[in-house]
Amino acid sequence: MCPRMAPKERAWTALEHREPDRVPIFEPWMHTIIIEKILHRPFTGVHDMIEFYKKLEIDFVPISFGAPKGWKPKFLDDKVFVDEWGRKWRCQKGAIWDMFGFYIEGTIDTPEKFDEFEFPDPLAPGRTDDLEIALKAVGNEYAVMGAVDQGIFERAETMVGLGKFLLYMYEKPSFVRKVLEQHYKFSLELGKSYLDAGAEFILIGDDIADNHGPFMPPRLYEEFVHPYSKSLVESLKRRGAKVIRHTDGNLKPIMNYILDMGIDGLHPIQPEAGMDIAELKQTYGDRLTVIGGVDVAKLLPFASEDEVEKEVIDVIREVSPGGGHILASTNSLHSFVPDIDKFVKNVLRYVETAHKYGVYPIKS
Amino acid sequence: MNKEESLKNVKQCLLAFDRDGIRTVVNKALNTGIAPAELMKELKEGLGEIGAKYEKGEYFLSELVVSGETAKAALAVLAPHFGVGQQKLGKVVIGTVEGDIHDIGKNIVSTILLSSGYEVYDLGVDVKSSRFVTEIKERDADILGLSALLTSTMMNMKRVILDLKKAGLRNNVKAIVGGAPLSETFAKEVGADAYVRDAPEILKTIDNLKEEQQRVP
Repeated sequence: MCPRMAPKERAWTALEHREPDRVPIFEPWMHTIIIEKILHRPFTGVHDMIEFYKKLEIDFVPISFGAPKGWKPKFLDDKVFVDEWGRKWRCQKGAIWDMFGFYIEGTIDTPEKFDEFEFPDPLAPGRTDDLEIALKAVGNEYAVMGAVDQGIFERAETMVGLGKFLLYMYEKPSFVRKVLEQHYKFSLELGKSYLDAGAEFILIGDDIADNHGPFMPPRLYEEFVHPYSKSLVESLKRRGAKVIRHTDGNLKPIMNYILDMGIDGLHPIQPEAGMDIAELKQTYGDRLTVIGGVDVAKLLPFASEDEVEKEVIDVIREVSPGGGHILASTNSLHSFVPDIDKFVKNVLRYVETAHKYGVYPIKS
Repeated sequence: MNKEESLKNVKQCLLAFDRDGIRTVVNKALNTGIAPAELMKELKEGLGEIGAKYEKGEYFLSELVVSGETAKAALAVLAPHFGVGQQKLGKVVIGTVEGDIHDIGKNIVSTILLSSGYEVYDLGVDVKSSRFVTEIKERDADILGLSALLTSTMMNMKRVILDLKKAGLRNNVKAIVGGAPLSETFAKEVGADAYVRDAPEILKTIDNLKEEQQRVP
């Protein structure tokens, strides 16, 4: 049966935990080299991202926010620069965004420095330029998303430094709250501006866990982070948005809070962190659309194309029936792989398989 | 306050993550004549309990960080009380490899080793291979700890181990690697002696290596 829904309707239906015409696909982050290999041309910006999603018929088009017009990173030497949040980065060729690289450290690491710091303006001209381009180009057809990347906790901890930020939860709790509050306000204003620009889908990326578990015990998560995360989701949903939340890691100890946040979908459900997408779907599928299933740690970099196809068919048969499943790699399409061409071929096979075998009703 | 109570207080402060409190109780304990080694033993036991809870999933990263800082506060009070020639369990040179700046796990490992009676030379982050080699030679270290969190930098561990071989020092040290993207297989591939999955496993790993060494005829 030929798919009959537009990607946007398909995405919306899956996020309502119902069966669309086929399983939608979601790939929010990738190294530009992947885009270049697929489009066979150098990456130049948002237009190439849109082309990439169109070419692979990937249903979601997530677009992050830009720096204010005219803002330039401060370079400390030819490779290391400081971003808007006082964070040091080392340039990395082919990173997800032009100047994005490896995070080195946060420098706003004391209450005094934070008080002196001029916090970035979420509504500065330039923030939604790329999103507006995407909405204009494919917004009627595709699920164009405004991405609140690094959301509240992740942006806060990278600004201060994770070790210090965790320590301050015990020793300087009012400072931690103050930093989180500012990032909450930034994320909320940014999210609202996305919706004002016409986006109907929001992606909140905000890592709060590693493979072992959340960075902090559930009681501290509840005390410091959850109220802001929940309020952000609620405010955006009240305005009619569908909200997908991304966080790496093992979330099992705080799953009740993840559900309480009220998100529509959870990404990327990492198997190496002990997260099982089939189990999650079975337990919470009526409330949460599960997004993931295509292993990016072992399968996509190392398996044969046929093995990829088999695995994608297996996950579709196990998780997709009944709806509420969106296929995605289990983190991002990164280039930290021994053979990039093999990886790209496997990504293409995964997407082809999803188109072919993800058509509802799913055949067993 | 008797000796038993003083020691118990030290451990209690550690388990309560009380940095100010632990400085006071360690000072008091020293003033009443309790040997630094006995206080170290309490710290080691306390960190062991915290590590065990982390491994069981009852504790989380923030608890490792804050307990590590609490132990460090106690160690700073204890340090001047250790005499020259004090028997150490071993000398460790540790650092995050070149190109990588992640240090939370490495710092916790350093603190656990310090609290357990090892002499630790923590070289920090983004450490060049040549610096590891020089420090191992100069310190006459017997354990090398290499940390990396990025898949793109973990191959620099191999470089350090190769450079040690070239310098004729490989057999002098047990090389232990740690970091999220690593595995047992990777440790073997780069020629390390062991892999530590989580920081609290470090003491067990070193004990296993020592045991293996004794078994070798």
